[in-house]
Amino acid sequence: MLVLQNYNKMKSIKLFSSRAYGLILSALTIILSTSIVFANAPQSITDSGNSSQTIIELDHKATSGKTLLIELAGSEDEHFHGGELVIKSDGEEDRTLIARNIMSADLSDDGLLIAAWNSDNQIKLFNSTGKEMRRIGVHGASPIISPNKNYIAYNKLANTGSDLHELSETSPHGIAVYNLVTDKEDIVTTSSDDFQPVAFSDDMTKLYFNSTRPYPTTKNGYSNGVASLWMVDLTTKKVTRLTNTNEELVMRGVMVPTLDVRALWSSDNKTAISSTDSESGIWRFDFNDKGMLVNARKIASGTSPRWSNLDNKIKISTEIDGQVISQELSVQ
Amino acid sequence: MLLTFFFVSVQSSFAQSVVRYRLPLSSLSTINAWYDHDSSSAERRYDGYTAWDYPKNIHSGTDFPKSSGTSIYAGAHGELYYRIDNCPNAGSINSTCGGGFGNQVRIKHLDNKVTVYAHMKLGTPVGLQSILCGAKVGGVGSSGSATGNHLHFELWSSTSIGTRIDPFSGTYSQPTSYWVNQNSGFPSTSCQ
Repeated sequence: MLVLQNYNKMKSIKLFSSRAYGLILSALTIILSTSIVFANAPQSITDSGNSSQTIIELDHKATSGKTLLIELAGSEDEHFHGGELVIKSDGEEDRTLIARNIMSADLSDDGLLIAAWNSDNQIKLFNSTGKEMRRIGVHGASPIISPNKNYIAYNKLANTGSDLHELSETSPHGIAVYNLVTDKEDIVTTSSDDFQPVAFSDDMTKLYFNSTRPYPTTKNGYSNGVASLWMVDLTTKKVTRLTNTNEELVMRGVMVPTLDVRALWSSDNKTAISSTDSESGIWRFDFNDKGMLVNARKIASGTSPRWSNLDNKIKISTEIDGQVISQELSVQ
Repeated sequence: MLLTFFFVSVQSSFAQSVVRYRLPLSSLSTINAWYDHDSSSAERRYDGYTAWDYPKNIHSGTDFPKSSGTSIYAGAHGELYYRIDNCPNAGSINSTCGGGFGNQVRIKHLDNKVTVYAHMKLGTPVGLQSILCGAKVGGVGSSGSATGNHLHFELWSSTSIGTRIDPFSGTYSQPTSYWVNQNSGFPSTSCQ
């Protein structure tokens, strides 16, 4: 059994407001560029003997002690149809089946609400006993739940069709926010390059998302996309690129990875630890008092960061010669 | 006789205008998914062979499994007009980065058809440029909606994803192969 550990302590990001953040980011990126190395470490997995099943840990909420897992059976080709979504409590082996054919899901902070994306590219809400509560919109992917559980943000997909690629490129698409109180869907971005909401701001007036929108340097309108962290003001719909703002570095291939939805957030919301993949390693994103991103740098190879001592140390996993090595790392 | 000449001329003109493609890899050992001609049930490839036996497989490309970083080459001359890089490289079923294609390049060819090279390894897609048949366009990866290293190759009739076609010829596909040499299902590396 393969176990991919990705612990989530989803917290909201405070607002970015300074007009100078772009310049600061650019400067920081230049400073950091000399130390950016894309490690070639393998994906962190734990082999527990059964190669026919893969378990992906999607989300862990320390406050509720609940963990969301997807159990994938069969070959990699069959994984395209998703797996069984289950929930378990810390310290317990028993698991509760939530739904089948699930691609991804998010768990509310209190561990009571689950937003799941299934292989038919639908988003459905479940409670923690597996009871289906409702469907959200027509087609969508990669849902996240707002801190107050009033909103679901997701990758809006076209209303007709079934193939993920085509649904992603056929309008309407972009990022949508569904208000569970008013029962209305608000399409907040309309670019087919916007693919994954990451987090709401504290006051839920802004949403952070990942996008491959064309980079400024394009030839004859040609698209040169780089996945970056973006922000949309949910009132004005204004979007802003937050990472990879230095054109020269990006053209040289020096890029900051996206901030993963499963990032670890410090209790003061000033530090996020993210591991989007083993190639990029583990990155640290630092925010100032206003929630402005002021630093982004790689701090280690490996994957699967989780707090071993909240705000002070993380435990990470690195696979060396087939052996998974765990180590602690200070993030102070 | 005049009619015969007309048909020969048309046929000749058609043959010159259609771009055909080389294998976008240096060698081919196996293909593990083809363009699906039977989306309502099991996958039925160009010659009618039912390749997979689980339902609802809707696959509109050809999957060539290869190890990470294996070079990918342009199938024909053209303009590399679309490029996405920096999608997370981890194989995942839950990534819609790049519309699920992950890191990718798209090349528009002389007949305005487009070839798509998807799920590339992070940091390998080459820049926007005019490109020759056989030029390297990137490396095999597992970015986007993928769970293992492979090249996902698609052929479109235009720059719209809604115009996807099967490059193979056969009973369940079109009569004319878009490969330079289909070679009984294992396309050759020869350029047109």
